[in-house]
Amino acid sequence: MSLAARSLTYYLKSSLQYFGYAVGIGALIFVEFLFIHSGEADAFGTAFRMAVAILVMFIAMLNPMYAMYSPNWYDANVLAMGGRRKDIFWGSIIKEILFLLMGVILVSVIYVIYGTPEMIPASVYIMVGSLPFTGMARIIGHKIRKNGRVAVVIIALVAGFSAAAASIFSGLGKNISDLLPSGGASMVLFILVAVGIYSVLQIFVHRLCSKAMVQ
Amino acid sequence: MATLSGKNIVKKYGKDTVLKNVNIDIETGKIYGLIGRNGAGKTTLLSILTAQNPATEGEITLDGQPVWENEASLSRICYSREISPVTMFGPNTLKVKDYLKLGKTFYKNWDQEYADELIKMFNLDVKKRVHKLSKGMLSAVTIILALASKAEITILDEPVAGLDVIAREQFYKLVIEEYASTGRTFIISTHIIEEAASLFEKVIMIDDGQIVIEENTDDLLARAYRVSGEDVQVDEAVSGLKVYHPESVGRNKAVTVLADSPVDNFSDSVQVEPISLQNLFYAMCVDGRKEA
Repeated sequence: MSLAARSLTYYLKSSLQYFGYAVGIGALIFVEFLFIHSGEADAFGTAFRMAVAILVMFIAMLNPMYAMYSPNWYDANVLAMGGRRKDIFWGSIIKEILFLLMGVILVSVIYVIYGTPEMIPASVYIMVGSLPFTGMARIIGHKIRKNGRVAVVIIALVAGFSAAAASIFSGLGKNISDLLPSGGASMVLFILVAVGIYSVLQIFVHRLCSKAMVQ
Repeated sequence: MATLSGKNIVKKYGKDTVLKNVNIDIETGKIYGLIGRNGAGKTTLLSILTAQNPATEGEITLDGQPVWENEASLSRICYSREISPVTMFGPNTLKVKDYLKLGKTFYKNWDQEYADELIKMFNLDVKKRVHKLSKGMLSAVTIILALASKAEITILDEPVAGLDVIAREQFYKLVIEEYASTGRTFIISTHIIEEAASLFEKVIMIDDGQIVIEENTDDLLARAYRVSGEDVQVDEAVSGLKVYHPESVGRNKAVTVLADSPVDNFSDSVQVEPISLQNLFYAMCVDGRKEA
């Protein structure tokens, strides 16, 4: 088996493992909410809706979290085992896209089975919307590896200001869904824009990844 | 015979030059010892030779082919590094079995049966997380990864740090057995020179970012001596030879000598003794510097 194939095996397994974590967390949340709402008329429905909503959030969050952490640990491990920088670069893209696709398919299937397909677009927006953040997170991860805690402090400040802005936005009675387009064509456009931003960010990721080293 | 070769390697971190125009040839089918003081550049050199880190200048090749991003070269090399129990974001929570699974995925000649045998031998709990391992157990993990990789060129960085004497002896025995049965090349970086010296067919001594010795261990020690006696007679006996680390007590003096070739005509007025690799290393590296 070639090195590229071995690397691909690693990233595919890794993607499935993280997807398993997300589904597992969703299942746990479902059981917990079922327990909390036991005795209520629509306990199953409430627990189900909460679990799927949290599953969507986890799918949206895990990719950027992993991407930020990777340059400091996972990428170094692959390099230390004789992997190449290009294996890391392409492997990570495959992993991130596959994880997202599995999430979109699973959530869509769940909503269709449950008879609430109208919930699908919002979930797809949230999950696919995480793609540009994943690209940014990987760049941030490289900066953290290079600049250490200074980068962490700067990122924490930026995140703090963003959270404050979101709170103000919410306080003005606005909802994030107000910003999202509606309709099939708009969703395709949204996905294309998200993938486009992610692809552009990969140019910078590639530059950073080509200088990756084991510390 | 294949050769892992580094030509004119320079490595700079900011203003610091860690490796200064290093030239090195590692021939396959030998056990090399890489020795040097802390910060001498050993790990940096090994990282660059295995393309884990880029060199600022210079070229690394294996059989004339570049090592950097080259599958043909990288697939023949395993550099098993010390595993850090902490990462930038906190404790290293990776399980030992997952770390070894990574080895199984990436090393094409990985021998799982041998890995299982070594896990038993070192009494390693593979379900433990890396940050919960003792220093000795961390060393055992790096040894298992290196040996089970079955890579043609296997590099171990401080493999015995933290191991008790029994585990160290087990490690030396394992290396000799592997070398005898497979002819794999081993490069072992270590501070525990005295114990490992007999293992090394060739020794590479690095000091202050430069290779000061790269030679067959027996040939090197055959031209190294400790000469002692009255200071005047010692000075006369070693005149014209490379002298390191002179020590004087009253009128007596002892020096370490590294001749260009074995010397068999020292004067009878001085005492001449063979010197161990560790003492030679000490004498060469401590000279002109503050003793640590």
